[in-house]
Amino acid sequence: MDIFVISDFNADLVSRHLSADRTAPSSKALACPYGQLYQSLSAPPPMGSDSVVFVWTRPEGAISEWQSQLDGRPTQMEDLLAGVDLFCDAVVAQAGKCRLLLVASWLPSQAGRGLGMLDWSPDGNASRLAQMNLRLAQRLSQVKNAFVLDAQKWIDAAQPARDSKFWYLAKTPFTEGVHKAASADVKAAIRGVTGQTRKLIIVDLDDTLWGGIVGDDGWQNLKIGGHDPIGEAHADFQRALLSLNHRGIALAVVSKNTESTALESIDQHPEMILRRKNFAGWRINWNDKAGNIVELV
Amino acid sequence: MDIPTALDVIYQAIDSLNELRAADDQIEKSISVMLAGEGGVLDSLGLITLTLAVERRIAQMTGKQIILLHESDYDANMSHLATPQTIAELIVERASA
Repeated sequence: MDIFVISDFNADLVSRHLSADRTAPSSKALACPYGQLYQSLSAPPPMGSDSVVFVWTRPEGAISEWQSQLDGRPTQMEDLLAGVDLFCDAVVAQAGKCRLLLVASWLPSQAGRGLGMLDWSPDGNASRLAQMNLRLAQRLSQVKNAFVLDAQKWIDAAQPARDSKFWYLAKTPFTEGVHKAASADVKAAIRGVTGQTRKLIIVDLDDTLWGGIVGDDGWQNLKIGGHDPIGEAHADFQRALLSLNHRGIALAVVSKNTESTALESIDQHPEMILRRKNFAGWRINWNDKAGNIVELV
Repeated sequence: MDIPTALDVIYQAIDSLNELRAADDQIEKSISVMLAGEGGVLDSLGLITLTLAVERRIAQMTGKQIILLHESDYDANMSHLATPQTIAELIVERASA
């Protein structure tokens, strides 16, 4: 899979991560030349129309009115949104020239405390950037092969996320950990669009869906939920699995246990979040687990 | 800060750099591998990424901000940044200054 990275900053780190990442699909990435944001958006991707385009910009690099906002000059929200619309026009045009287009949401331009309580005032940077991101998401939601990725998660994944020396030496606003997280998200998005996502999760029972050994402890004494850190953790794990199940991922159980005992726990334990109806199938017996998985699948 | 500790920090940074490189292009973690300068395996972005990662880690460990890469004496710095051994020596020198 060819990936073209379009950015207003030096995006070589993320393109190198995308190329080196060994998870499927294998890919070869190329970053646009530094300072060529709008020129790159207006041209066809150099690797052809079957490639993926990843657009990652700083708001001040993509929207000239945002720099005025950062400089403290009087700036109208309408002008900022007009700038976003111009950017979106270019992005939408690019979407027509590639297979899949991914756009990173905009992050605050500066780390640190900012202007404190003024940031979320109607004219503040935080509230205005949120409106710009919302406009970006709304515009791109109308394009079937374009998706917005939440860049805040990449910042959360790296400590520190920013290093001003990186910017002044290499024109890269984020540290390598942020680029790595971005790369992982881009690859995951490509897998999703190309039908390579996981479709089935197989779980064990004892000390997996619940705390304790049902055959030894009895289902009444298993740790699920309640005022207990282990029980709460298992309840949260079940809740996460249920959320995936609601999104169409099948669940199954493979466990070395007595089937009737285990199913009684699933049916009867009052704190169980997953019930029998949530499992597409199960193999609960004393046979080899690997063989059970093969048989189940 | 001693040389073995400094080398550990450098090797951690090399681990991060290797995530940016193909499986058949990994940087060897040895004291004499040529990183920068003539015959070095790092380009300018790789060298900046390595030195800043090392500077950040040293700051976390010691609370001391050291500077390994001076833009003003970039060429002169190259000999200090040539191998993990020379970088480790530079770290020890600057951390004790």
